[in-house]
Amino acid sequence: MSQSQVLHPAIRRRRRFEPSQWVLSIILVIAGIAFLIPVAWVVLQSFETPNEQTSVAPIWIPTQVTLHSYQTLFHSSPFLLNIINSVVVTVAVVVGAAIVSVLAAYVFARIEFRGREILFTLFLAALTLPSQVSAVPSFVVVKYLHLLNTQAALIIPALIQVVGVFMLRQHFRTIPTDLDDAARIDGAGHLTIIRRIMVPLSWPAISAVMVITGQYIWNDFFWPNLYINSTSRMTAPLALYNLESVAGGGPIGAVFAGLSVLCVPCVIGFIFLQRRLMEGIGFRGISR
Amino acid sequence: MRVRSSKTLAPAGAVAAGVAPAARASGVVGTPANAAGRRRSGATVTSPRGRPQRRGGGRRKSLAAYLLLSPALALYIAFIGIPLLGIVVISFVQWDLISPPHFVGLGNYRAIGHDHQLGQTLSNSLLFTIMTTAIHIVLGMALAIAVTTVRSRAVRFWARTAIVTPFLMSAGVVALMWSYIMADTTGPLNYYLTKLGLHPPNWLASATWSLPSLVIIDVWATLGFTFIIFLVGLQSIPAELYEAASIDGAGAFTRFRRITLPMLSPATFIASATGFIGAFEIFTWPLIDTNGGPGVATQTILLYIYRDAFQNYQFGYTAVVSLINVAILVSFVVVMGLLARRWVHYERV
Repeated sequence: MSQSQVLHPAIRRRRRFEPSQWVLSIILVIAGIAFLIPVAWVVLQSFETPNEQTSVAPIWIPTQVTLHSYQTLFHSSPFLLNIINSVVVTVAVVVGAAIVSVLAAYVFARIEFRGREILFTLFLAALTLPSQVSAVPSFVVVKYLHLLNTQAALIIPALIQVVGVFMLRQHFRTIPTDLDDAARIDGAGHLTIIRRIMVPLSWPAISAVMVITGQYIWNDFFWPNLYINSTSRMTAPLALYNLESVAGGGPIGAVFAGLSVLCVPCVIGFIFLQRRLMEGIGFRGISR
Repeated sequence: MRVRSSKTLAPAGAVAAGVAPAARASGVVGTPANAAGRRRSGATVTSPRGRPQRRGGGRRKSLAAYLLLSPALALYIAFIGIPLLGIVVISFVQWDLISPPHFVGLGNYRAIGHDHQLGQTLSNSLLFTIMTTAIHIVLGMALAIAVTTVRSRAVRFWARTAIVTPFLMSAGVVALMWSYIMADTTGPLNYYLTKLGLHPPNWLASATWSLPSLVIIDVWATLGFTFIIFLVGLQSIPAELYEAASIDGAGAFTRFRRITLPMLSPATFIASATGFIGAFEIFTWPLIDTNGGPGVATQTILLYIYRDAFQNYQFGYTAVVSLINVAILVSFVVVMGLLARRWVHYERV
């Protein structure tokens, strides 16, 4: 559809009033609507009265805005607690995994030691297989560590983010070793070098790692679904699923409200974090 | 469940399962005897940049290295290495996780022959994966090219935000949302399709349409990832290439065919590799939207493993199915690695 339009900005500027630009814009605006309309529908529904919500002909604009669904959601379920759980788990993993990754990446980038190649190969190999493939033995490990049905089950295994180690190692290697040498002559140890040189100079890369880790953990459904079974310990998306399946089509409005509560931060988050996110994901496409 | 955020391809053939014990063994080389031997073994080592580095204090260096690496290493062993090895170990036992496991030799492997669901499950996963990956590549590339080409900043911002937003939502949220949208008589989708005079199927409960429905949900939810990969890929194409081609009289299609497509091949490679792996491990849509049904029409491999383990407590047999799952992913990675050598064009700078 758009493939005939492959022009670079440098060339594009010469022409004016191209009808193809109009066609392209219209296509993209429609595509955007197609992607956002389900979200809009759910958010608008959440402000409607129960009668409007269950009406067969979809009602888009609520005749009177009501927070009834939100009241049901927060009164009939510990959803606020679930959101707090999500926040706690996400923050803990983002911070913890960043520290673990920075330390490991520094070692792989800077220190020559016996076994480095084989260890790094092992870390790389883990990038190939999604952790879900070993869900059953992971469950056994978590069970024997007595972590089942605790937040720790969601935090501790997630502290190892191999992709973070790999991305940061690649980035650390672009920092000139002269800087470390100079610091070392001044008596700095590894931790000082990491804190004073590596982290400040690779902050964009570290924050990109943090954004993609945070996005993954905040949204994860698989592991909470596997490990957590008491409602008060669930993360928000799992709690919502739980609410829907337990209610069996009951407070549909509460589910709409919950979905809206979880959708809106995504849109806002993207607008603020899009550069980091694109760096984090785009890293895959351009490296190697 | 998609794990799009964090995948890349390791060198083909490097399979984690087989080498994990080595990691464990080398995790304890902090002992003096080992370290001393190591120091004698070589005075200089060539660094990756080709500059020789002195290797004084090798022992202290290794100790420091392993100290700093220890959190990552311990976590790796406990939550990646042991589980992967665990699949192999558990595949030889019968176990419900309550009573102690007992050894059954190849019994679990033989049971594959009597499994009537496995074939259909594998073909569901494969069919789903092929459909969704193909659509991701075509649509993701087309939209990324369109967004790069369009001049209006507002349109660019709108399209980018709209396409990426669903990717930032939890799989659970997406699945719940679509179960309402695609509901047969109460959902808005079928309401409008009926208004248009069509006779829409009962999407999620139809034997023919349930798998394609999951593809639609998947494309909607994760296209943003593919789109970003192509967007970043497009930004790395030098403008001079297009200028030179235009001067030589190349039309838009030729420029796409001869410049854009080859220059995007690394992005296409990554998008198809991550797409395939992510789609093959799909879990949340079939769990929430169709519960694998109707019948087993949308039962995917991970859902099958999940049900067999946590609803039927067949941990041993599940491990065999997990091994099949790993084998498929690994052979895919190997094939992709070989294909990449031939088809992927890396710009030499």
